[in-house]
Parts: sequence; structure tokens; C-alpha cells
Amino acid sequence: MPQVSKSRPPSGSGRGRKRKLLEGEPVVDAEVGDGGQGELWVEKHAPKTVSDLVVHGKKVGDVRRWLESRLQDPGWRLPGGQLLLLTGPPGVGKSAVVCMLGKELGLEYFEWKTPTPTQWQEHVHHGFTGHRYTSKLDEFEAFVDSARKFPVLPVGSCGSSGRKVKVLLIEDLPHVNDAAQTQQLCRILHELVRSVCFITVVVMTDVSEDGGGRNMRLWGLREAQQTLEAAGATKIVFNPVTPNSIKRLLTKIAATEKCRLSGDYISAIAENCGGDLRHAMSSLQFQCTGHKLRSTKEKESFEFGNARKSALDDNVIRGSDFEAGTSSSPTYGRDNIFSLYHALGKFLHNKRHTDQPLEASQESLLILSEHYRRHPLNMEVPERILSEAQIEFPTLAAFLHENVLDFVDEEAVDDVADIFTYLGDADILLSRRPRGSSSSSSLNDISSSHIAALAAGSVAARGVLFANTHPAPRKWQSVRAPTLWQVERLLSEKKDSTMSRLQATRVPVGAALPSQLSSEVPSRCTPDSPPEEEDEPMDDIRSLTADCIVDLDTLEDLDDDLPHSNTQEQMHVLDRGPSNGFLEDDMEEDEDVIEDDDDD
Amino acid sequence: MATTVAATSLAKDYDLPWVEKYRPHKVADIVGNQDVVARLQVIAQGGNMPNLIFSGPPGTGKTTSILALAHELLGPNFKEAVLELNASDDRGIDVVRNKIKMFAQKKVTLPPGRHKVVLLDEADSMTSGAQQALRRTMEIYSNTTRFALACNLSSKIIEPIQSRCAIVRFSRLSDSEILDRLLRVVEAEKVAYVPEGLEAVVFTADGDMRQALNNLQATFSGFQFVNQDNVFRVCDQPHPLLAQHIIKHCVAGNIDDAYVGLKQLYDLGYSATDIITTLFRVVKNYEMVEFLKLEFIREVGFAHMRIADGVGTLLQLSGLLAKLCKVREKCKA
Repeated sequence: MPQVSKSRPPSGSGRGRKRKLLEGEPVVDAEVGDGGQGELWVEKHAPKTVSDLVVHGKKVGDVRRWLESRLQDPGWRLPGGQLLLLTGPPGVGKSAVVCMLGKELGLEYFEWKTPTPTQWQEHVHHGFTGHRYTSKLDEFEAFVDSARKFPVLPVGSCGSSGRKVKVLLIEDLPHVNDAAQTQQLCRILHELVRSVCFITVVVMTDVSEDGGGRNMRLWGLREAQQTLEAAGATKIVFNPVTPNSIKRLLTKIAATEKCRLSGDYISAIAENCGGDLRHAMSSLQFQCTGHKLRSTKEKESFEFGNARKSALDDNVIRGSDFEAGTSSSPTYGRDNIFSLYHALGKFLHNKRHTDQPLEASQESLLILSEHYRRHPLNMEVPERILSEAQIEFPTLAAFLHENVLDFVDEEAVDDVADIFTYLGDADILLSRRPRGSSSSSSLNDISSSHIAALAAGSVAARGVLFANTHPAPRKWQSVRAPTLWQVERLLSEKKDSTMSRLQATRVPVGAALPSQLSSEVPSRCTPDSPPEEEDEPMDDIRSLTADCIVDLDTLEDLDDDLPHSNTQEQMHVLDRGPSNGFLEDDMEEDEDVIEDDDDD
Repeated sequence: MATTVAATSLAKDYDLPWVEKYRPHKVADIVGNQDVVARLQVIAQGGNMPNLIFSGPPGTGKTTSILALAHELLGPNFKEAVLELNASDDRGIDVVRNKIKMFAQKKVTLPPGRHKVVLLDEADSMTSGAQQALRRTMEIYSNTTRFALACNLSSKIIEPIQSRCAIVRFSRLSDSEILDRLLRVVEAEKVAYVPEGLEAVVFTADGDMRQALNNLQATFSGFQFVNQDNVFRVCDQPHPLLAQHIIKHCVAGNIDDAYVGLKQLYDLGYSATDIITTLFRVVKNYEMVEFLKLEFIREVGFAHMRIADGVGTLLQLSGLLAKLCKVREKCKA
């Protein structure tokens, strides 16, 4: 009986999306089990009122207070005072808070929705018919401009008169790809903050830069946030939801959906979603499918006409007493957070069969000296754990490096020395992996770098296992994310800011060059051949340059040492910088500027 | 369904790669990862597919699962209710916004509990910008359209997308699972083989079903007979048995014998890269004392690194053997 699919219009205003659940919500349509009800649990169990929110009460209060204060005082005209910025990791209820509070306070959201673009091909083929290609950024700029210039939205204090207060909501910031676009976006946002004359809420998802995702740089997000804050916007940061809240919620949902999942199973999901409620709910829905079937089967004696049936039965049963911890590789958990910690725990805790004798070689020829003998490992082969966990090996090495000291006895300096020797070796092996884009590397390179990575992973894991002969007394220990990443991030931030500052000061530099210097610059562009006749200034410059380079390395603040603009120094710093192509363009342009000056 | 398809177009199928010819058309026929497959089967029966990310190494059945799932869910509506985009299609930001949005807005008559499906194969090769654009679309149209993404590394998918999906992990197939399927193919294709030959195919595949079937077909069409020698000749890999002998001699401390084995391999014309790769895989699976294994892996890793740098000489490989024997002497009581 085919019927029209539920083509409910995509919740018109775009604001019908509710995501987070609520506590204690009696779910109205309890059509479960038959699977015919096609709704995502994330939506089905979305919160209906503010009290349903799982977000920390203080944060909700902050947002509410901000909104109320703006509502009461429409004449609020501090620069940037009309803009609220909400950030936080994905799935913690940012949009849900905005949506629920809006409902309660009687706000009407006016949302920036990215228009469906004209594709480039269409533009090329039908350019004359009015299908124009415009970049999203330009469209966004036009939108913001019109929002600033034409206050079509009634401002403030209309709540009493029965009309809803309109609020501008921006969730989908346009994507930017390079420095120029980032600047454009920042400029747009700056103007928005400065001159918008009604309440505006910007929701931005923070992408954590750790984990495997750290190599995927999202341009402009950080810069956009900084711009908004600098311009005076209020920023409220949402934290990940606590495992306990998530667990409570999941238990409730599981009960309303009539799935029989054990409590341990649910807490496993709750703990491993990394505070991401939305993902926890999706996982729950997926994990529950097998269980739901079982209850259905009991009722309707559901028939599976194939041999897989027995496997499925096994699986369902195993799922319900999951606490036995039989499965070493859980199929849920966002990204690889869980699998990573799982593997790390095994390597760091170094469980061995201490009751069994020290291992002896199968070869009777080889009798190991005492020092090299170990109790057999109480776990699977390390390589198997690694491959099941699907960890990226640099991540593994970084985590082991960060945390291993906590797991070795205070006195065991020799062990630590060994461990770090092995980790160091692993690092060398990893350094051979081509980092970043593998587009240029051939198939052969990929397979060979794969082997190197495998070897590195094995060395790191096995090294930690083998060398840790004096484990620290067992106690509860949390696993920290590598500080290495913070350092790397800081480094790249510094580099970026230095580069952009130099770029910004470039044009005035060329113009302000002393005339006697300017004629010589082209010959001096290569750092290898410094002209001898420049004595004092050059020394000065050299020392400054040296300072800068040292500072880049030691991560100290560059602000003080970055002096009054100077072309020479610029070139030197840029020369060490990561992007040489950029450097060359830069120099050529500089020369042009200088030659123009001469002509004048 | 699978069998009828195969039967009706037998003549046409003659030249098909076996990978395609024997690609399962039903979720139930998928090899390995029983947990996952069982759940998918439930979804295939009951509908209401959540947004899913399939992640796992190549050749473990991700694409096959997605396609089979979509077929079972949508049946005759497959053509109009599925939008498939893989890495070879244009998937930039605009395409995601335009094509996927248009598809999501399209009205298709479907039974209750069924949704249109957008299949994004090799989603980890999508730019982060395109993934960002996907984020909102996924949410707004979730009552009519669901997404299934396949990727090798789930970490290459941006967090907001991960947050909106349930992640399904595929692990490498076990040797017995691969062997099982190979036996069925061998039977259907009437391939002449010896058991050792199939074992060799399984070894070369290393948990990758696609590779296993390709190697099997290549061996069969090249030699009409699957035995160990033919397999390794086709796959152009040094015979792991020889490598095993080398390692065995190293563990026993017989550098002379080990060197003889190495020389034999080298004289067969294998490149140093091939030899070191095989050595690595053999060492990884060789039963030996923990310390030896750790040191062996490390030394092989370093040798591999040097060879990858271009020093692929017999001298390097001999040096490796010497180091392995030295390690063994070092830890001897």
C-alpha cells in the first residue's frame, strides 16, 4: 500500500528543527517496533520547552538574560551590543537553546538561509537567461548589507503590542577558502556587529582541532570568531554535555522506544560520544534496531528466510549482555575517540598474565637472559588492537608520549629511557610519511608509507608494553590529549598572524623605503648575496631577523620584536616561512612598487 | 535476486570482473562484520534508515552494503529515489548545495518508513567546505531524505557531520571469511586449484576481499590453475615461505643460512621494496618472543625507510639480517 511519502515541507522557516531532547517528555506517538514510523530519534525526541533542555542551566540562563536585557531596552546602542555569538562543539544544544528560548520569549527568527546556488556550468551555458553565478560570500554580504541598511524588521519592544520581536539568526556562515576570503568574511561580520540595529544571534560550531580531524583546517572560523568578539559581540561558549545527563536521557528514550538495552550498554554510548548528544541519540537509534527486531519477532514471529538468522540471534543476545565486554571493537562512538582510548588503555595499563611463567623461546637454542623476558600479554596481539581501533598512528604516538609517564613507577628511570627510545624511533618512522595531501604521490608511495606507519605503530605500542616493567600502582587516571597539538596549533597561529601582519604592512613599506635603499633592493633580494656597502642598517636588520626566527621556534610572542616595517626583514622572515611561492610573488610586487617610485 | 541476475545475463557477464560479478546484492550475503550486517538487515526490513557513516579499510564491503541496503529499502524505486555521488563525480560546495538540495526537494512516492537516500561514496575525499554545506541540508530534509556516507577514515569527516550520523565501523575480513567466499567463487567459475593456492591468494589479499577476488581472477586467467607459485607470480610478490625461512634463520642466529635465503630471493629479481614489504608482513605474523618481535619490527621498519629513500641495495638487506642476528645475540642469556 504505497502512499505518498511524508513530504512535509522542510519545516518552512527553517526553524522547525529541534534537536535536543528533554527530560521527562512523554512521547506521544509510541509507534515503535514496527519500524514503519520514519523519523529520526534526534527529531522525534527533540525538546519541546526550555525545561526539556539538557544544557547546563547556567548557560541557558546566560542566553536568556542576554535576550531579555536586549528586549527590555531597545535603545541599547553600545557598539556590538546587539549581537550574541554562541559557540561550542557539535551536538551540545546551541541551536536548541536558541530555538526554545525564542519560543518562550516570543521571538520570531529571521534566518539567513544559503540560497541554492547556480552552478558554474549553468552560468556558463545559460548566462544570458539570468542564471548568474554569484559566490556565497557575495550573497551573504548583500544580505548583511540589506539587513543593516534597511531595518525592515521592527526594532525591539513590540512584544507587548502582541507582535513578535524579530531576531536575525545566522547559523550557516559562508565557507571561505583562503586568506582573502577570510578577510572579506571578517569585514562583513565586523560591519554587521558594528551597525546592526536589531538583535542578532550567530551560532557557530567549534571544530576541535585535536583528534584525527586536526589536519582538516577549516578556514576562517577562528578568525570570524575573533572578529566578532573584537567588535564587541557577547560570546557564550557551550560545553559538551556531561555523560550523566546523556545517560539519563538515553535511558528515558530507550524506555519510551521499548528497547531493552542494558544500562551498561547505554552508559558506554553516553561516555563515548564525547559529550555530543545528537550523536549519542543517533547511535542509540542504530544500536536499538537489532533489539527492536527481537521484540517484534516475539510478537509476530518474524521470519528471516536465510541462514543469517542464527547469526542475528546470537548477536541480539550478545548485545543484551554486552557488559561482558566480549566485543573488542565497538561499532559505535563518534570518530575514533572511543576506540582510541580503548587501545590506549590496553597499552598503558600493560596487563599481563603474571601468574604464568615468563615466556621462553620456542627455539630451544635461544634462552633469553632474565632482563628480556616478560610475562605473556593479557590481551590480543597489539597489531590486531591497532587495526581494529582504526587509529591514525601519529595520533597514537602522540597520546602515548603524553600519557605514558603516569603509568610508570616514579623510580623506574631506565624504563622511561627505554620507552622514549622506542617512541622516538616510532617518530622517525612516522616522519617518512608524506604529510598532508597525498594527491601527488603515486600508488607505490602510498603503500610504502603505509608500511612505515604500520611499523611505527607497532614499535610505539610494543615499545611501551615491553619497556614498562615497573608499572605505577594502579589508580584511576585520565588520559590527556597531547600538549604537542596545542603547541603545533599555537605555532601555526603565530605563523599565520605574522604572515598576515606582514602582508598588511607590505604596501606602505614599499612606499616608505628610503630612496637610497630603494634603488638597491632588487639586487639584495636574495639573502645569499647581501651587499657589502650597507653596513649599519644591515646589521641591525640581521639581528632583528635572527630574533624573529628564534622567536618563531621558541614560540614566544612576536609582537614586541616585530618592528617598524622593513622590507629586508620581511623577506628574511618570509624566507623561512612555510610558503615560498607566496614569498616570491611578494618580492616581485615589492620590486614593482619600488620601480614605480623610481620612475616618478 | 543475485542468482537471477547472474543467470539471465550469463553470456554478457563473461568478461565482468569477478568483483562485480559476485558483488552481493543482498545485505544478508555480505561477508564478515556480522554485527553490522545484522543491524543493516533489520534496517533493510524495517525501513527508517538513520543517517549513517560507514568507515573501514578498503575491500571490507562498505560500498556493497550501502548499495545493497538501498536496493532492499527502495526496491523498484531505486532509480528515482537514490542519488549516488562518488569521488569521480563533481562534489564541490555548489554541487552539494544545488544537486543534493534539488534531490532532497524532489517528491517521490515511497512506502511509509522509506526515505530517499543520498549515497556519498568515498566521502573522505570531499572537501571540508563541501561537507560544511552538507550539514544543513542533512538536517532540514531529514524527514524525506537520509544520507549514507562511506569512507576509509571517519576522522576525515568533519565533526558536525559525524555528529549527525551513526557511525558504522567495518573491520578487515578474517582469512577464513575470505577463504569461504573464494571457495564459492571457485566452485561457480569451475576453477582448478590446490588449497595452497587459495591460501596464497588469501595471504596476498591481507583482509581485502576485492584484492582477493582480483588476484584469484588474474591467476586463473593467466595460468588456468591456482597454485602457490602461480599466485605469487601473478601478484609479483616474493614467496612468503622464503621470507619465513629467512626470519627463522635469523631467530636461530644462523646468519649464513639467512643470507642464502635472501640472496635467493634477490636473484629471483624482486626489488628491495618488495622483499622488505614481504619481510615486514612475515615478521608481523611470526611467532616469537616479545622482545625479539619488537626489535625485529623496528629494524625492518628502519630498513624499509632507507629503502624507500632509494637505497635499495642488497647491502641494506644484508645489513638488516646482520642486525636481526645481533639483536638475537644481545638478548641471549
